[in-house]
Amino acid sequence: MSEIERYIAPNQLDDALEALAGGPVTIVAGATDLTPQITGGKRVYKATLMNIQHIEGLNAVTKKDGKIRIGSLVTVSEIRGNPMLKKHGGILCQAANHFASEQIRNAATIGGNICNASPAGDMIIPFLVLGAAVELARWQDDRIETRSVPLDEFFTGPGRSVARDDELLTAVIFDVPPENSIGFFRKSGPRPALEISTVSIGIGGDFSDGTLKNVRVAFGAVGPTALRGKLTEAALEGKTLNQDVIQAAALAARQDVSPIDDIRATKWYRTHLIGVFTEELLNNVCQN
Amino acid sequence: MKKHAITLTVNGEERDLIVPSNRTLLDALRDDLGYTDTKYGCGTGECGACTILVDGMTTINGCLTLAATMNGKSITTAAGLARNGHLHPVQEAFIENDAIQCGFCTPGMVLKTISLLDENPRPTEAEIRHGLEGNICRCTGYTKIVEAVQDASRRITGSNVSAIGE
Amino acid sequence: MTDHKMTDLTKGYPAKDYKVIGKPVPLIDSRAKVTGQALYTDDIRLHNPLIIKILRAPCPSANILSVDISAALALSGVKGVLTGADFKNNFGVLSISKDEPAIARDMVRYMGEPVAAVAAENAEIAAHALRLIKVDYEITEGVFNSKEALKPTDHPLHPELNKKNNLHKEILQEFGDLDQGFSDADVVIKKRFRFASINHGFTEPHATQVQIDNKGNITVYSATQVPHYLHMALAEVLEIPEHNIRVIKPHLGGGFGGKSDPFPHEMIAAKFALDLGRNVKIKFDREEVFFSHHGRHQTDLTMKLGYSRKKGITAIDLDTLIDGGAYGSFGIVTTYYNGVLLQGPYKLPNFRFHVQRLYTNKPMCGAMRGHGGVNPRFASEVLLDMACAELDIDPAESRLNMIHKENTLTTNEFRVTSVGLHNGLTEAIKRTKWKEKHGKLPFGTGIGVACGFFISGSALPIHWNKLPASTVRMTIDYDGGVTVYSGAADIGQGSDTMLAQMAAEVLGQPLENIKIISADTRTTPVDLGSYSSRVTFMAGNASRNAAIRMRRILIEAACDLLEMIPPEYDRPDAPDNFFRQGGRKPDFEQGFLGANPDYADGFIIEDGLIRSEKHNASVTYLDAVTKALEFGGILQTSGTYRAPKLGGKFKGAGAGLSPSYSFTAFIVEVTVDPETGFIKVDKATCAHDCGFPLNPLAVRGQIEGCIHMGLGQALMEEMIYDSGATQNPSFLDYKIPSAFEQPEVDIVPAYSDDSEGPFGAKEAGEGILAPVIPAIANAVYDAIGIRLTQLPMRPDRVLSALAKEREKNQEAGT
Repeated sequence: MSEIERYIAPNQLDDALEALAGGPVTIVAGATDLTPQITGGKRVYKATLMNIQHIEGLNAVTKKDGKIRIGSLVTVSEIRGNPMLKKHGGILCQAANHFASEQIRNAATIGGNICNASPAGDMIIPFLVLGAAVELARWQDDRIETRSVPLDEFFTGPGRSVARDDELLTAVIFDVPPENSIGFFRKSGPRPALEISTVSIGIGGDFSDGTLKNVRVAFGAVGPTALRGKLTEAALEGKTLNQDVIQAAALAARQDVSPIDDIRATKWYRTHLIGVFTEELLNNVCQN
Repeated sequence: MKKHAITLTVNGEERDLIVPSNRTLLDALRDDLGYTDTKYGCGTGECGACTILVDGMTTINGCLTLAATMNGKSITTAAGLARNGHLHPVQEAFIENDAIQCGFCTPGMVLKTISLLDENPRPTEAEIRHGLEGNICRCTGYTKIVEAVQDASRRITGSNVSAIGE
Repeated sequence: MTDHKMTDLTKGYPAKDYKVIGKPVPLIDSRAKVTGQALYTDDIRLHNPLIIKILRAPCPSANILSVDISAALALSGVKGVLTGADFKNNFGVLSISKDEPAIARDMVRYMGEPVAAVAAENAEIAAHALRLIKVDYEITEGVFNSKEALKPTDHPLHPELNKKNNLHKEILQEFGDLDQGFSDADVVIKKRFRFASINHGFTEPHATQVQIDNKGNITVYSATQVPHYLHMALAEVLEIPEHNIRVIKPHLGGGFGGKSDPFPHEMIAAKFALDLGRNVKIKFDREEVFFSHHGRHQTDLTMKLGYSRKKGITAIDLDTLIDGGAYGSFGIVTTYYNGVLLQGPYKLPNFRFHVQRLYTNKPMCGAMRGHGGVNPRFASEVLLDMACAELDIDPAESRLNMIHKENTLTTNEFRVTSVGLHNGLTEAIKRTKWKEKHGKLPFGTGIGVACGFFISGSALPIHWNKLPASTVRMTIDYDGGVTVYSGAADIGQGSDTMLAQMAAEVLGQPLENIKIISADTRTTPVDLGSYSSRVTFMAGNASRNAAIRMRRILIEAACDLLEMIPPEYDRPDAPDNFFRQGGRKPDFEQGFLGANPDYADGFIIEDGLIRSEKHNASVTYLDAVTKALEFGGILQTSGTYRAPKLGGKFKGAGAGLSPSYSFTAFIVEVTVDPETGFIKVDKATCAHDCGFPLNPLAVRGQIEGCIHMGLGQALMEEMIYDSGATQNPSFLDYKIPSAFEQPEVDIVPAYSDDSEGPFGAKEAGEGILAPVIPAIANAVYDAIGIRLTQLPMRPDRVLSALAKEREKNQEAGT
């Protein structure tokens, strides 16, 4: 076991980024993933433990210039109860409602859920459907430098992402969805919460006159990372939804995914469920 | 291991303690401060036996939280609910509905219920069941617990008792 | 969902003017639990305890070549390190299979087995020290399933047994004429079934603390269901007299059989305390609980069942392999129970069972709620449903016709006394509108029935002796307060409350006036422990008998004060068996033996007065207490329970013998999603015959809790192993049902009055569980036409079975 040599809890982003630039740091916010990973021996603490909960400016949800910005310290509970998001990013609230338990939702942050980069990360799916990008900040030449990475390019594998060791995820940003946009989230298991997904799925887009445009489909727990369903999107884009289109999309969805057998479910069953849920969500769209 | 001085207000009492950086809030409460009413059941946030209230009505899992990150916070445990010898109405409802068997999940269940009723004083049965998902009970099959929550809801809304006591 | 208002379970009984018995009584320790004041083992604060941590084997099968503890011992703050060499004697809950060492000696038999233990000044140092212990393992080929374990081998898990295989126990028993039975049948069905091992999932992890005094006496506080057996095992393993050891069970956070063995960590903790002269403490994390396991055996069984329209079940032939894991635990009992518990609830004239328990390189299995009876019950109830379907007979009606009559002997000579199943199932059929639903619901929704049967405690002790199975001591203080001393362990089921109810009823006292001291081997007389659903029947009778003796003392004192001649008791020096309602049959026509039959003495004790009914004269209770105290200065009685002589003369006749049996019927309604394979249990209707329900609230808790646990085994719970390695040692991956999954529950009365149970009561803690599971499976068949023969009924298995069925139908169609 490694020793924590330093514990810091900066109030300012630049202090945090400076610390990150200075050496190996374990970042902690809600600790809901970190603690079980440490006690389970899947992760060890680095020399510096940095509590980012007090950093100013990372805990707001704002709507400005056609964009919605969710600070990385915003908790899942705050998303769940946010009226503006209910209106403009309802799929986020749906996913938040099915996220773990209230105790965990109260502590778990958006930044943590994304950076944990679990293929089954529940909040990742709705953000993929919303076409979100993450904002990464680092300390460079005595100032904060940020870059934006589309979320569907962020993950590189289970627990891995393109974020560098000296970068901090500061926000998730997406365009305010148009009035006619829709979004649905579905997660396997009869239980709404406290279940790591066997599979999860989100579908969203602009829907009018029975036709879907700008479709985004995302799947969780069916590959090494949460992923966009490109074949499914193609099968739906610009199409007027009818049973033939829905069936074709369900078939495409099965081809989009490459799940594995594990203790939670078999590859066969996961693939099957993806088809079933795609169909179910598209039927929901029709009825909406 | 690096240690930190922190101050927690537990059940209204300010407590100073020194904790290693990796110490969970649950261990700090139980082993350093003696609040053994908060239980360890799983250590992964699944069972809810370590549920506590933070800064009012926010429930969290003590087993997942690092104590060092809680400096300055105010915490309520089951031991801090009674007022002048009178139990909290949720506690009374749990007793009278026999929602308690082995009792190990009970402190967490009670705190969870208080938070649930604070947010939603008249929950439906489905809302109660959804709300209790983070708390495992292996004895009762939950039915009497759900009834205790319904009863507590009536007690609280009927008597205008605020959910945290007097 | 509807409001689950419970039917009055005492309805249907002739009027009884009990004050406390049969009333809904919240558990007497509820207030302590709801405020967090109740102390569980790990909550106790001993002075400056050392913290113990256990080094666990990282592989399931290995020879231990060497253990180097020098670096660990040298670490500052480490006070002691133990290895297998420090323990000479093995232990085990059954005297016939003491095969478990406190710490592995020469070989590792399961992944997670203790190979060393450290006691240090704090947990961090102890954890650090574990990493400094070097164990040299020679990895050996392991045996990971029952079939493999049956094969001959030169390297069995237990070479000390001098066997060339891994067979722990094999039992073959046959009753009646099997061939005749099958030839009498209109239909014979044979099927294979497969059951995952499941874990108790109690919420409080194992914990033990040991306090030592300056004379070397130890007090062991432990989360155990069996303080008495732990006491004996500690003495044997530590090689010190029992009187130097005191075992106390503090509040216990659930057991379900999972804390009914002595455990290695208890031996380790006591040894450290004795060796180091320091208080010590150990607690498990959840992962260690799963590594230690002791849960329900993984089971492969083939059952053949013959059924006749006229006679009901004509024969059962059962062949079963149970995977016992590394050590014996309760396994020999489990092996018997897999067979003998099929002797009810129906007549079974011809019967053979062959059960083999195997040693494998996995965590051991042992007793779990419904011990041994749950998996075969699933098979028999599903086969019975299949037989009825094949013959187009109503499966609920068919069951009604086969239930044991009262006061009969089963084929293997179990004595069945009271049976309330017929009226219970009849009521359940009515309440659920079974006849309008079964076979008539739309595809995807279904209704199913199943019944069960269980012991009210084993009539024979685990360690053969002639002592009472349970003894209770009772005292009354100068102020009139009653104290009940019992070795029975309240594990959350409410046995303390039950003991108090007995005393309160007989002595005419309010429940608040009864104090319970229980499960402390220094101060309480022996009770064998909380397992096999024995406590209400046995400790309950003992408490009642102690109270009856106490009542006589008070009445005599009252008569002295009133200058009356005391009532003539039939035989004042009679043994306790006499006090039972022995031999008398319950009779609904005449009422249940009248009010308070056994201590009807012409007096009424209530409201602080002892009143003679005949002479309309009274004294205060307190005056009678004071008067009684004049004789000897203390007021003390004892009461005992011992089971009557029961059973046949053949080998193994003792297994499953019980002074009484409970009966259960379930009707379950489900919805199955044929697209996802999800099964949702919508409603469970239960009729459980527990005799007269002493505390309807507690009975209800047991019923709803059994439904929860049955639902888990039916739908989601399974221990997953990969070559002996536990794959899901957390509640994240070992899913147990949440509040969300618990169905609506309807409890209907199934009344009987047991002639020997205390106030007519029988068991209510375990028998309920088994029939829940086949009732769900039978409902799934009614919903989608699929017979699931593997537990848990995971959604993917539902879908695979559906797909196979479609293929079969298509082939049949072409």
